[in-house]
Amino acid sequence: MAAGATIGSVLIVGGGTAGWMTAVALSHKLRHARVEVTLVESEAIGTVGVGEATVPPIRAFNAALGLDEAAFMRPTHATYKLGIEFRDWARRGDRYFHPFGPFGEPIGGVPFHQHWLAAGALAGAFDDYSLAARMAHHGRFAAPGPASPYGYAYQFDAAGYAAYLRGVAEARGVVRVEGRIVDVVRGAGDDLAAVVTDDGRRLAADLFVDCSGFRGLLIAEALGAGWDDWRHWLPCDRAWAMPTERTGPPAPYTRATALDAGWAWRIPLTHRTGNGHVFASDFLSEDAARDSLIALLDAPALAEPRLLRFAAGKRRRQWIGNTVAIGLSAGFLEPLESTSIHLAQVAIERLLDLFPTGDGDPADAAEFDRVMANEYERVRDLIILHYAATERDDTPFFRHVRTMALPDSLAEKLALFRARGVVMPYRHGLFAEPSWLAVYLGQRVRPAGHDPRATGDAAVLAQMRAAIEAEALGMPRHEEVLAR
Amino acid sequence: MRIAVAGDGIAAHLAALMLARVASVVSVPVGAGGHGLGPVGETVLGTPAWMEGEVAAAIGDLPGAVPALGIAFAGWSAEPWFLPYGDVGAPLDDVPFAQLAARVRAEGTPVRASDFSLAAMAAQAGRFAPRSADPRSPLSTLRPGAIYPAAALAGRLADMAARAGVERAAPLAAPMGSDDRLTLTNGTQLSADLFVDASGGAAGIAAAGWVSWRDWLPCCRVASRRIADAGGPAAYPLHAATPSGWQATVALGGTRVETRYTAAGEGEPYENGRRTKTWTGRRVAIGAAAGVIEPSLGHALQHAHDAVLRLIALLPAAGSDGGAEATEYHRLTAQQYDRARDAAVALWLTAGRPAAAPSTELARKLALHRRRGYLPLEDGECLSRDEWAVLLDGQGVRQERPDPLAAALPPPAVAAHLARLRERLVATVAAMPPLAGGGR
Repeated sequence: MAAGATIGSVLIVGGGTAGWMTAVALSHKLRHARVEVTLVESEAIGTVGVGEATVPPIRAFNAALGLDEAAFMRPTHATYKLGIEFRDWARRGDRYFHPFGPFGEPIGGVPFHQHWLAAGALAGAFDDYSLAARMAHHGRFAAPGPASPYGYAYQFDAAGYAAYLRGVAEARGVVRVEGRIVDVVRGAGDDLAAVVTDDGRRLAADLFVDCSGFRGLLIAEALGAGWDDWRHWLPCDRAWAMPTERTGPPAPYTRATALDAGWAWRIPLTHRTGNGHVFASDFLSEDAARDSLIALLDAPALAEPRLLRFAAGKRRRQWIGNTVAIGLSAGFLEPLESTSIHLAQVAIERLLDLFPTGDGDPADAAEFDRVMANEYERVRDLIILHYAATERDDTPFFRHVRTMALPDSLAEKLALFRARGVVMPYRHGLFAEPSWLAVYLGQRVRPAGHDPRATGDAAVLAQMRAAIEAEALGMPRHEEVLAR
Repeated sequence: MRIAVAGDGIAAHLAALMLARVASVVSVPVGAGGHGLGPVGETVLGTPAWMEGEVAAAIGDLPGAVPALGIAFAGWSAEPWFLPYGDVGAPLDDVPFAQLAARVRAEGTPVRASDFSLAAMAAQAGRFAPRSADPRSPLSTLRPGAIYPAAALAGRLADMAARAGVERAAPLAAPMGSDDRLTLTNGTQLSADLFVDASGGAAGIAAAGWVSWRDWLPCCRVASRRIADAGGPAAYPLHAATPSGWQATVALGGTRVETRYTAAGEGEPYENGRRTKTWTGRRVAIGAAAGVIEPSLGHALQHAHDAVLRLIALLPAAGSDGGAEATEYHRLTAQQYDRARDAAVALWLTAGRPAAAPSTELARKLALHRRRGYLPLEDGECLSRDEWAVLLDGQGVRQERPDPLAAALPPPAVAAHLARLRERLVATVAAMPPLAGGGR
């Protein structure tokens, strides 16, 4: 297209969570732009929909698109999520919480965790200083105010979220086309011209968004984007998923329990509990992994176990010509920190920042790739930290991950924390200081030294801890809030 | 912990004062003159970020200081422009104001950022009011800074440091050698856990190599003078390009300070650049000892302040060799200097002045902005996205294409938004009192 040309049509290929998130976002943000948004999907192709737990930025995403919380929580059987409980990670029997919110408050201008480090054993558990962690522990929830020291996200049925978004998108003018893609028609250079469906329809567009999942129908199969393989840092490559009946009130948090060659998730929804076992097939057979998941279940199964295969990594290029990859077509990180939906969200936001002007400048694509690589790598590093910083040597899997070479970007962060308990800051990236602290300290990384200014006054810490506990206990129970 | 701070001016007193809260501090005069902030001249600018710090609040009113609403630039491009300390316009439907302005301009209606900034409008009208904490008030869009007479600021900080318990040693006899101690004129040797070079480097504490940025920023001489002036103060410095460099003019009311920066002229020599290591062993550099960027965008004081804060947050733990702390301190300090340098280089380059090819980060920013008005922000950046937009806009850099989301907004909605903003700002400025001491 010529300079000054504009994008008149967008075709989203694939209708899972990423596809319908993209559809709602583009139809809303481009509502003045007379851009035709079409989504093509096939009923015959299943979606992955494992991403049942989310992180707090999803609330900003929903709010920016005018989505009402109550309206989407009910059909998606959503519960509130205050963070993730990690069990058996650094040592068997360990528990720690990665909360959506900070730990304690600075004292005398010195970060709270430095005082906690200075106080040593007198200070109790680090989690005791997180309101979100204590709320989660007691099964409490209340919507935070603007100054509250915690945030929240949701645990929901991802397929239900996609279905809800589809309703919103279609009401806002997005056209849904049923069909399986059988051919991709190239245009000039790296551009695509159209895709062809199994019933012979030719769907042309100015911009293509590949939300086709792992296979990367456009970005990889048609355009050969290349792949950054991260399996040497994240060897888990399979998951068994299996829902069970709900037992008791749903917890306002997700649980991730380390097993012998991977970990198990437990995500409570209002109508069922999502369970799964993420494992490394180099260390555990599929059959054994399925059996160990079934052995963990504490309630009757609602479906047969389902196997998912994946590989950690990302496309080397996520935007080529007039095709942008969003969701699993762009990259995959195991759901240990519930980041799948978030990475799709960030890609959508960056696509809108850099929405093509119509003449397809490769600089837009290069910038998108650079920014997204940063996002993926920073999330990746926090996930690797759970494996790298462990004392477990009771299985071949843990002996492997605790001794593997780390990416430089993580090695330097870890070195600084080990030396002085300082989290390396950055401007762009999901996880900020409290998240890094939760995982470093939860994984028993103890800095060699702490801030010399920190007093670790036990009485002050005890008072802070007591106030947090009282505040948590003063909140309503999670299930009561859900029932409202 | 015992920390020796070497230097004579603002940077040294500031560092001593801030460090006195966390350590036993001894201040060591160097006798090299200057303020350890590089070529700042007889006045120093406190940016909005500096003003939000505890030290600025503790300084309070300083005789002779003037509030700053931003920096006026003249001669750097076809039209003079103003970098305001405060908001510029407001977004519409999440589309940033700069993109709205670019779109309206592309349609043939001239739009100046300064016509939509309360700080810029108040500066031009010679009016001033403090920031309002009420987000509904247009006065909440102000983030005033301050212009300090350098000598008065140094004196105030020295007093504050003395009251905070900073001990004053005899002057340094000779630049620090390879041993970790300072030799003083009274014949004693001073040992410390850390030695902070806040002398601009004359103390010899900061001894690592120097990366010169002369190929980007060629000015290397500074001359500052005070001139009697019957006019009143102005709430901004004027940074005017001159044939051989640039000149900062500050009206303090009764006096005017002119500071000239030239590539070959009279005055004190300086060199834009920074150390290859800003913390080695027990030796830490802050201010001009760590890096020098002529203050065309006014960040010298803020950089020194931020470096001290960074040092405090990274004070070595008991028993630590300081290696990890030093590495992180240097990484963050270098990052801040490099990004601030890019901003200064952007001003110089877009004025059509000869300079070496920009850094990767700056080249990327300029290219994306030129094409579509998108401004990627890096770690350590001192300018906000809005400030970058004002700078490049003021320099006459026009984006080639409007942002598609901005272009799609209905014209009447954009026009009404701009008109409403302008109307509120005009009414607010009219109700602001004149700057004490009169306008310009």
